[in-house]
Amino acid sequence: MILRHMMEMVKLGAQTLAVLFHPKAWRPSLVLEQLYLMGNKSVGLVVFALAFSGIVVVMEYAFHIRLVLQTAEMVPGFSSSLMMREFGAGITALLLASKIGAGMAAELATMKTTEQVEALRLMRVDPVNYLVMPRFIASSIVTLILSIIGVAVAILGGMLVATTELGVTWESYLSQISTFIQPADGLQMLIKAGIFGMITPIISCYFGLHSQAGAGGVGKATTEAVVYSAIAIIGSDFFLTWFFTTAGRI
Amino acid sequence: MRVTAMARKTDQILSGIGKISLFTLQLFRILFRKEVQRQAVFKQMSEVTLHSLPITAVAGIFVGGIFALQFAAQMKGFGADGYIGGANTSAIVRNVGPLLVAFMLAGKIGAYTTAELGTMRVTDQIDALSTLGLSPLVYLIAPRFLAILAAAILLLIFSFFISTLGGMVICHLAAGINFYQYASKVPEILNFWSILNGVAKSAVFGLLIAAISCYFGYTASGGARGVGTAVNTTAVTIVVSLVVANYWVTSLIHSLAAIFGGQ
Amino acid sequence: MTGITFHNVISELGSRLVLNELNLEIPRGEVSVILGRSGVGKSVLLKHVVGLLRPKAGQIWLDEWEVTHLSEEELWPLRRRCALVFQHPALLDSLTVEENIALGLSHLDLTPEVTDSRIDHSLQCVNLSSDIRPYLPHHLSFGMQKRVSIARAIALEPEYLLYDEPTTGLDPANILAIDRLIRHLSEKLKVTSVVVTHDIESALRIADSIALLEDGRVTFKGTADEFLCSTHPTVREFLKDEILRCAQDEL
Repeated sequence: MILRHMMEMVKLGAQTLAVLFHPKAWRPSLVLEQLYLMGNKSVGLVVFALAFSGIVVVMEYAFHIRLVLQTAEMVPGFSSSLMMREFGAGITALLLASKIGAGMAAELATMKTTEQVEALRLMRVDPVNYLVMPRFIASSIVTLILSIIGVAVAILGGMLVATTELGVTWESYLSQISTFIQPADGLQMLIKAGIFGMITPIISCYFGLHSQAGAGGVGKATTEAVVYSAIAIIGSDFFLTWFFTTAGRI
Repeated sequence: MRVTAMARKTDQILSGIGKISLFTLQLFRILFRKEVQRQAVFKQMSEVTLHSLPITAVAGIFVGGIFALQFAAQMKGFGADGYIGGANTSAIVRNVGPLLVAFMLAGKIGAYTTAELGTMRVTDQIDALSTLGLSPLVYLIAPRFLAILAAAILLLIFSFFISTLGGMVICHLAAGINFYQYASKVPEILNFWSILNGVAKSAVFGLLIAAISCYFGYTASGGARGVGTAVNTTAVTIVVSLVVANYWVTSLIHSLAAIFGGQ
Repeated sequence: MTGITFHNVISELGSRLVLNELNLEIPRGEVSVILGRSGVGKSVLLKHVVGLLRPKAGQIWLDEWEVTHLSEEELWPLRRRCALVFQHPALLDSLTVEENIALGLSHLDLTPEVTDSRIDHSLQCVNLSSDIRPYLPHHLSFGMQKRVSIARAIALEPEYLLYDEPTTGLDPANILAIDRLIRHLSEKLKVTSVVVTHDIESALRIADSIALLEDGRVTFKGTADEFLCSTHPTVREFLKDEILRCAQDEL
């Protein structure tokens, strides 16, 4: 059953990408609308959550490094490195899966239940083109941008804790970051954010468009969207991490 | 105008927190008065746990693997290979294990519960119970709440082991670190307070998932669209609360440890 | 060949057999009503005509075209000829009234002036003022939304109008108004109307011919008078149940 879902999702993904290759079929106004809806509602959330995450990461590194090396010197470097490689994209994407992923699924499922999707078909408007593609583009862009903002906020949050609890000066914090963080880390974050941002809309729109009728169908579709998006993000995070860490490193 | 919008939003959030807390207290009172059917709770709990076990295992393995890889990469440069096992396990139990797996459970059991209860609410099934003289909170919500709370805690604790296993396997495959090496430093790094941290977080996260999902499902309104909105709200609220709670519990245990002379 | 013809159509929805060797001929120029209990498959029948659903076996003819094996591309010109009005108004929530109607016209390559005049004309036909053009669907009453969805169908200037439960969910005054509208449109615009409903009163008011759908088949076909006087057991059964139901409602 899961396999059937996955095959259908891949099909939807392929259909969406196919639409992307026909610039005449693009609907910029819809994309902009979705960008605004998704971005506007999510910025505060991401900033809030990533600030806390940044604080916790520094606290945890401080704890562990002190245990092993008896000194808190390299905490800023390690923490920022991890935030960039992992949490920036990962936590943002998981947050957005809940916020906009669920939203997309609920919206499309409701449209399906009220026969709006069938109405589109009758009007010769391709649902993939009209509904899925704008959300796909918008989600990818929003995830990318918010991940960048998120990492910055997380690093700032970490700096707050480091300077107040660990006695690290902010100059030393920032200089450590510049030594520790490599361009490859930035690349890792951007690629992860991009891919996560593309996974969530496909999965969410899929479940929305294939939902069953009625309130139950909407609830189910929204739930499945969140669950499958989360697991897909965690799973692809793993494979991407593997790729980035074993490619020439370990 | 942004300021008034923000102020209104803050007020909404604060009153929401208040309402959810009151709701949860109500449920606990019902549970303590033993008005609830034990068997029903147990059955639901085992159903939910078993149903979510596979996906928790998958998530757990991936999470363990991700951090094994990240830490190994970081530590390799500093020759701290030996500590990978200890550090990874400790980090998993203290932090990333509960948090990331809880993110997934927010959807799997949280959103699911809201969807179920929300659908029942908008199709008047909950009101129907009332008209039959049965309190929906006692007969429907409280048992579900307890079942989900218990299931979440069990699954989160289970995820510690699975993640550790995943971490071990990945370290072996990617960095050639064998199981003995991996396990050797664990007792040194993973102390009592860390374990307490992990368990406390599992409990708190479980509580958040159960309370928030039951609340938004119970108070859903507005037909099919309302159910979708409720599920969406649940997912977001749980995820944000998890992040905040993660911080609070870590801080709290940290302070407790300091008081008692630990770390 | 003209009109809509179902020939030995068998169709399933999931595992349920909904249309069971259904045969039906709907001539042009009339208002044909398909009656049946709730859930019997009337909407399903209608959706087959425009290819939204496909049968497992049998043929369906719309004028000289057999539709069961046509692709979406090939179906498009037929969907312009034969417009479907959904049970839920099915207007897009995020678009205004005029944008909703315009969306239906977007593939016809009309100039903005022609599109504009069609929008006004179709709203006029359903007794709505052009003032509502900038409104979003949820600002309108349910009855008005239903009319807008009819307007959207009319704007295509079709030869057939298919109505799926047009009066369900409306209050008695609105029901009468919609019934009158359906008859009026049929005469004024010279469209063939096919109405699917479980409301006997409406059916008797507007139908040139009535078909009763039961157990996946058409068990009766005739005029409204013939329907009322029919001695066919299923018709009597249906009338009896409906009258009982109406009486209970009145109580």
